[in-house]
Amino acid sequence: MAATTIIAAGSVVRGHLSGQEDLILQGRVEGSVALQGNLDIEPDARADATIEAVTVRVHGTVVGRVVAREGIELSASARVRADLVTPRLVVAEGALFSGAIDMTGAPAARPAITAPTAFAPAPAPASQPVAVAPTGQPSLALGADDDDPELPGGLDAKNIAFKKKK
Amino acid sequence: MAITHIGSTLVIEGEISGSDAVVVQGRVKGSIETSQGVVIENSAHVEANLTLDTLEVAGDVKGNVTAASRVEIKPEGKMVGDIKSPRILIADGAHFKGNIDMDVGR
Repeated sequence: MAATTIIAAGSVVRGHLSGQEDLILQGRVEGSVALQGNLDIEPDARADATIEAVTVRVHGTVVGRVVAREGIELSASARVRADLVTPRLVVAEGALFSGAIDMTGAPAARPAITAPTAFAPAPAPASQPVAVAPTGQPSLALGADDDDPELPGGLDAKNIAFKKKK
Repeated sequence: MAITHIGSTLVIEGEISGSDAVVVQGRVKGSIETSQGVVIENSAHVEANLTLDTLEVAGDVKGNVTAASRVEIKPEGKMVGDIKSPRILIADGAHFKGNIDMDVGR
């Protein structure tokens, strides 16, 4: 199978480019690239494009957006001004990058971290008024304690439940 | 001399331009402009205006061609469009529909 496309150094492609094979870019692409294969952008190559591929290796210049299903590698000679979306990213020392990175593989780890931190502050405010109450103003502190956790909390929860059902 | 190679599963909608030879096995819709030769292989479908030095057609081409040197339509080639070229070869078995103008580049 002819499984590789090469855009040579003296060539410019403008428009939409798609395919099921690997692409080696030595020249220029302007527009969009959608591949079910890998994309190599060589040192003197330049892509001003929205790129979608399995893996993207950048040795040259990229401006735009890169979405890689498996991974992106920016080598030392890479010059990139783009938003990157990929589960795996390697940036070599010397690479120039500016843009946003979204590592779609990471969210699985994040809820595990945010869940305990969300639990921790909840008991903290409750225990602080109790600690303050005996030293300062007991009656007000107790009133505040009663109001805060039970009535509004209970009402809110019911209201939300009803609103959701409606 | 480098060669730009458009593989068999590749689809380009737009323009290819430059100073490399171009080999097309996939699909191109738009235009191809190069100072070198272009080869349209058996599996290729090209719907484009072509400006080039030499052209070899073994696949499907729809569009107008302006060649600086030569156009060759191979036995398995199919071409619909106008050709402007000083030299033209049409092989036995080739399919062609269009106008030919050889009165150029002299």
